Amino acid sequence: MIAQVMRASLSLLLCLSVSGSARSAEPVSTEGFETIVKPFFSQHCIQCHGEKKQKGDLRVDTLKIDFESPKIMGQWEEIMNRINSGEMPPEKETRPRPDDVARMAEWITARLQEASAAGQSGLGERIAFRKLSREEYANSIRDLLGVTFNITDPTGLPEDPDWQGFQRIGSVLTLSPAHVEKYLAAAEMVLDEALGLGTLPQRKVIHWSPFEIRVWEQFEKEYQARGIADKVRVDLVPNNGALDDRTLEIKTTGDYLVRVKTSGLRPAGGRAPRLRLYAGDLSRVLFEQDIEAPEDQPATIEFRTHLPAGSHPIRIVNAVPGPNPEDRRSRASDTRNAFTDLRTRIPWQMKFTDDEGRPIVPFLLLDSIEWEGPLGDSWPTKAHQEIFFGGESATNDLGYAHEIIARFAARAWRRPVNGPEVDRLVKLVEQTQKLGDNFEVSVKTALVAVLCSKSFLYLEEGNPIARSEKLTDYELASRLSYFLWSSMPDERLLNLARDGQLHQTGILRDEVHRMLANAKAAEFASTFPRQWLQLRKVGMFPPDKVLYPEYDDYLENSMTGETVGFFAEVLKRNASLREFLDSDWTLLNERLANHYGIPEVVGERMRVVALKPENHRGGLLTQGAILSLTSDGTRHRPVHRGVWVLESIIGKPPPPPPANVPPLNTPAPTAPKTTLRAKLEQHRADPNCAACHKKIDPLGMAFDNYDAIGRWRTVETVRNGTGADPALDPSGELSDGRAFADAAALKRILADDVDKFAAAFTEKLATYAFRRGMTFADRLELKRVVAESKANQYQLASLIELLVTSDLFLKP
Amino acid sequence: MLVTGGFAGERATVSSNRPLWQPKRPEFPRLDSARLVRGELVSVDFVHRAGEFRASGNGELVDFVLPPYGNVHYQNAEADLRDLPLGCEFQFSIIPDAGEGVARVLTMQDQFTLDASHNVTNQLVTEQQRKKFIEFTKYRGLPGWVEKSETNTLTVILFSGDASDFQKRWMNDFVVGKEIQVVVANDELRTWNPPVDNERGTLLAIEKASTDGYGSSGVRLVFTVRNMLEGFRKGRVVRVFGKGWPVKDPFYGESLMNYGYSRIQTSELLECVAKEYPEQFPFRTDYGNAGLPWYQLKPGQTAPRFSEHLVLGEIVQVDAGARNGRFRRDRTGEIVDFTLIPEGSVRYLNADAGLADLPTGIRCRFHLYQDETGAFTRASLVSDEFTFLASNLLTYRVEALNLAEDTVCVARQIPEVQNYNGDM
Repeated sequence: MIAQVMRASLSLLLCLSVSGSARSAEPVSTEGFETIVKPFFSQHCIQCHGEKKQKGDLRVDTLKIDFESPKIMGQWEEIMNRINSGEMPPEKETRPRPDDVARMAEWITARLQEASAAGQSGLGERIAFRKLSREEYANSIRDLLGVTFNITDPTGLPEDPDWQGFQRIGSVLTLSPAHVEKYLAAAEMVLDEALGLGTLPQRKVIHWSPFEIRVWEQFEKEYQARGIADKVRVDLVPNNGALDDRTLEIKTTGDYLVRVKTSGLRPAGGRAPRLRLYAGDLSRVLFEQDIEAPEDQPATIEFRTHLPAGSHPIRIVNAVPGPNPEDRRSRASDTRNAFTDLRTRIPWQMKFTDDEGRPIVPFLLLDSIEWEGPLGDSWPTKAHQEIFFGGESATNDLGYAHEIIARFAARAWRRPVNGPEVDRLVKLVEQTQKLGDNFEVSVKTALVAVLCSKSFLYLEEGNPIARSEKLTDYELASRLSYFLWSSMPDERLLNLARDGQLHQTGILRDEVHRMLANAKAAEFASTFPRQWLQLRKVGMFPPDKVLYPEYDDYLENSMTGETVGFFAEVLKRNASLREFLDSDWTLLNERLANHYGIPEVVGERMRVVALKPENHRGGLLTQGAILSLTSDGTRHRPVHRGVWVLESIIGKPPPPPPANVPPLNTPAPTAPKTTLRAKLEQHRADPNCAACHKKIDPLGMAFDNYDAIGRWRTVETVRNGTGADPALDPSGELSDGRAFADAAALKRILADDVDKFAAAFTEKLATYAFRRGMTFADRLELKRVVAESKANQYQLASLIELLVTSDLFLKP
Repeated sequence: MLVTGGFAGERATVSSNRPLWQPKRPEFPRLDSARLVRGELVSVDFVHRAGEFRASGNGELVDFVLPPYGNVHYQNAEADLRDLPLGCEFQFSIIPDAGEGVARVLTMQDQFTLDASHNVTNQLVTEQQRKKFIEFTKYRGLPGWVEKSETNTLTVILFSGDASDFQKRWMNDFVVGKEIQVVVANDELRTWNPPVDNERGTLLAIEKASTDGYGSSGVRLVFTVRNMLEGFRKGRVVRVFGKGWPVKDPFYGESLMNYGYSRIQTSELLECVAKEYPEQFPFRTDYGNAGLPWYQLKPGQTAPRFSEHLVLGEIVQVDAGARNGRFRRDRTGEIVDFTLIPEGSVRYLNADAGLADLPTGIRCRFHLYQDETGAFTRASLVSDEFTFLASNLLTYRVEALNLAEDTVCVARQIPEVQNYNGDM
């Protein structure tokens, strides 16, 4: 069924579709049904839920797996929950062995997982529609029109929902009325900026002096009279809460060049001050960087940012954590001093420097901020010249409009367009012209409709007439492009598609090489690891400011930067997947190196750093981002860490926890301090819990030597209880009996099992590429890809190439 | 009739870190460095810890200022300048004039103190003055200066005019290991906003310091603070508060900040930025930057505050049409010609006026700038004494009428203003 939504009042066209056609039967894995499920049912359930009795309307002896029946899959889920929580079988009956319960729960979990993936596969539908993520939307707009669309601005798009971390699963990315409004407004906005209809925007420089930034305007005349107005600077101390936002008035949406002249003084052995410019109305950090420049030699820092027209309150912050030394400035001072140098500070203010004039806190001395823009390369704009290709000599008639729209739509929709599609859009031009709009504005209305159409917003695969077994070359071009670039195919890909060559293995392989070498591949190198490893959760529960006062955005971004950069480096080197499990190198900047206790890394830039065993790092599992994304802001959470390892590394998500699990006991203050591990062991004395936790917990407790923000430690800091903080024990045993002493040993075991990891990783990669969960039907082909990849030691780039050239990649 | 007292007019007060007379803060002047002079107290400005005395013998009028550690003895007890009756004779220990016409008084003692008699009546008077001074000091904190500041530890040597008695009198209120409070102060021992400024810390040690110098109490306190403030620097003045002492805002006029008062402070009572932050002025002022040239007037531009050189004198004659005149300078009697600059103004009886409104013989304040020859002849403001007093809300109270000598003794009064505590 394809539903069309017309917004006649706006004369705009928006097509969207929802899938729901009858599916062909999905292949189902029945492995384990006979050996695990049947015996359990007959031993524990059939008495009440069998042929003779069907208590609660449930009969299990005839219950089958049917992915298409939500009712039946719901029953399976209910069965799992009841068994798992110990509610069933009832108390008077014989208790099943905990191991059997665990195996049942795992089996049902795997089936539920498959059912969920099968629901995303769209098999059986003639056309699969998979909506672009908001990042992909913005990237496509950039490549199509050459303008920036800031997705997180209020004028942006809502965050995409995720499925197991992946924020690009077709069936999960739904379309709500709110989206429709947003897409309409966004299309208007980006076309306005790209086409620049109307008068030539004046490029201007908005200069902010210290008098303006500090709201010292009343001093300006006085300082001019004294002849030292040019010496006045803004002193920014850590966490300068008292500095008011300053409003930036932007008349024309566009790119702006921002120049900040500032000194940054760093105390010996301490952190450098960190300049952050934050636009409150956009909730956007425009710029953030450590600054080091002597008091008498300020540096000029330049950056580019995209700003929408409007008033933007800009907060200028020295983003270094710690006590706010400026809190004493929260009241009015009668001392009419504007800051000129460090000796102009008022005695009751916090001290910045020691008696020799050396800085004791990291602080900034700001001289000016300049906003220059909008930056335009040409006028008319490049997009205008491309879209209105006929130039000034063209006749502005409907024939020309037809040609303009056909060209634009073909690029935007990433495929050839047909006559009726364009005719419908040309009608819009006609209608709006009748309403009095000029030619260019009327054409723009049709272009808005192009950008709001299903063919732009969705990846379409298949055709409405007959089921196809293979993607067309245009569909392939889009799948490949959105996989590796998170954006629309470029001209070369579309040309290859037009010539019908793209599906050829050799060509595909060359294209993967070309695309990975392109700067746009950074999108894949960043987005995939973020989604695979669920890095969105880093900082989701901000670490407690009292327990972790040094934790700040900079550290958080550095942590994520390490993990994402690590992935990019493995990709660049075409290194083995084994590196993800253990490595003798990582990516660090000064902030993170300090956090890890690794010396001699200076500066903000992430760079490859060789690791020694005593650094206790290497691979993904001991990276700060991974270790902290599972914590709750106050303490490390071994169980969550274990679950994360099962989900992201081993690829076998454990069954969900049963309902009504009591919280951990807080020990009496008079009792000796104990580790979290000891508390957990007490907690899961219940054999029903122990069965699953036996598999989960060792994988998490192995990393107990790392605290909630990923710092190495040998004892656990315990607040309640008496005596010394207890020593940690990271040792454990896997369910197959292999024992390990600590995280390093566990990493070695996992690295020995690299085949299993490669299989799990490939499934994640495919989920990302195909924008759906992998099903039983995909397994065989995936296995083949993994097996082939083993021949070249699971090199990452080669694995991508194998996946792209596999049959699976060419299938709808 | 001669009116004495009030704000001494032409007076350059002391700038911090002035090297001429106290080269190395935080050291106290050696006991052999002072000269003894007797004189009759003519006026005091207790807010700025300054005044005038008439030297016995030559009758010369001497401006003086008390450095932070300078102290006063009256009736054989320590006292504040405000406790002293004008006209009383004192023995001043001064450091000779360093070239600015102002004497630094290290200590001053009245005859009563010098005699130190021991009859009952005298002891009672002494005890009363002592009590008064203790109450005065507890309200404001004991002054001292920072000898050392490291990380979060401060070492402070306290000031006193009576080192022999100091430990016994004050140190019971300071207990090692207990809390201590400290506030920043300026060289006039004035503070800003103690209830907010104050830093709490722990007293680590009470040590003996040398008493070999004017103003040292012989007691050194070592304590921690939570926050290191700009004013906690070597050589700067602080005030410390003992156990149970109130930490309150100073009274109106003494406070360097207008916090908590219902009336905006007059400029005379505000923190003098030219004196406290000379680096903010790229020219010489009456308060500092002696090494820099004076500000030169520029046509069409308003001169900045503190760029003027203040001179007092009696109008001798004016030519309203030519906008010039001459005055007899205070003290020296020198006749000075002046010209009112085009932007210049005249104030008389606290109202705008012209030169013609100024009666001959009236004492005026001249804001002067240099002419091409470097002489201070160009006036930007000529105003009478009443205007100054009125605009600063100052009044004089008649203390004594000495008809025989044809003099009136008056005491300066600052306005009565309540703060949010109801204190005045």
